[in-house]
Amino acid sequence: MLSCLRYRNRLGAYLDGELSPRRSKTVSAHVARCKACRVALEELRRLAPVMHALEVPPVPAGLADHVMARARTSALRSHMEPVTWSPLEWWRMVSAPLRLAACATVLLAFFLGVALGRGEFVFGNKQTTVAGTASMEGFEWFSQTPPASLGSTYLMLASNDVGGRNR
Amino acid sequence: MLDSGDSDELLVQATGQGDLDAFNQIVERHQGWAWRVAYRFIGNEEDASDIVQEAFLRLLDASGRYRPTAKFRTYFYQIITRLCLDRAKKKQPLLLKTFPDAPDPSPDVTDTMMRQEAAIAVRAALDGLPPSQRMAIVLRYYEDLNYKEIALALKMTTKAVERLLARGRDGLRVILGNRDDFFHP
Repeated sequence: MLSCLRYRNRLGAYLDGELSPRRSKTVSAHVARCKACRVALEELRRLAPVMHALEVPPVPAGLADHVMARARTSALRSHMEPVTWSPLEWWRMVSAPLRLAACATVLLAFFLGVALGRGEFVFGNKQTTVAGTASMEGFEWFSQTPPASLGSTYLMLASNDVGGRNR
Repeated sequence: MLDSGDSDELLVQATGQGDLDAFNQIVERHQGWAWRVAYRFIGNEEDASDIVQEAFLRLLDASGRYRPTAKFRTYFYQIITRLCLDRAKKKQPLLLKTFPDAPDPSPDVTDTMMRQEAAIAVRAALDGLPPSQRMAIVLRYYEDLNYKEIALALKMTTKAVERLLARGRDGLRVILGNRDDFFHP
């Protein structure tokens, strides 16, 4: 009896083709020997056409229109709502590799900045003025008054003028 | 620009970017089966209509976060089944003291009446099942989903689906079993 109950619980899966080949073969062999399970299996087979007696009315007219009307209202509301600033939203949305890349970029920029900043002191000339920094080879173009600019011309004229007065 | 042949996954992603025309296509494509699942489960047009509308609106809300890691249909089944089960929890259980009798087999009873009687009996039998068993039965018998697909839709294991179906079928046989015309024609 216990054995029969175990098979009875498997009859539905057997009928649906969901059992492994080995289990299916076991159930099939049992059903061939057991009249009660054969009757139960036959009743299960008859259940499917019975279930299809349930009729379904057609989709209500205008269902899609109702959905779209609500969707448009929802879309309009979301446009009118104040934008909330969520600076870390992008962090939550990106994948782990991208987060790692972002961290690596920030760290690289930091250490590069430190290394370049230390470079000033390595040469021994602590040049703190902008003009002084600008005179390092190749960096004069980054100064506030690069060569041939209006600013540098003015400074040159001004220094000549001061020199002229001081004579 | 999307056209009518685009996949559901593409349409949902376009919806997530604000394309309501893409969303309209999704609604047109899937309202039919969504309606059938909801109606077969809940049993009345008003509730079924509410469930289907709500399912599409939840899809719209979630479309911005949608990633096509699973088939769209599986994803939408999850939404619909969840809404159906939640609605069933809110409804009062249908208690029938008597079930429809087997139809009169006399010759003047038309086939239509017999079919209507059978439909009422099946409806009553489904309503007599616990919601989770009822949903498993609906997905198996009417949507023809296999156990793995049902498991994905209901977010459970295939073993749990097998148990639900076994109990659901037992329940249906008990309720419908007194009708000789069903099981002993």
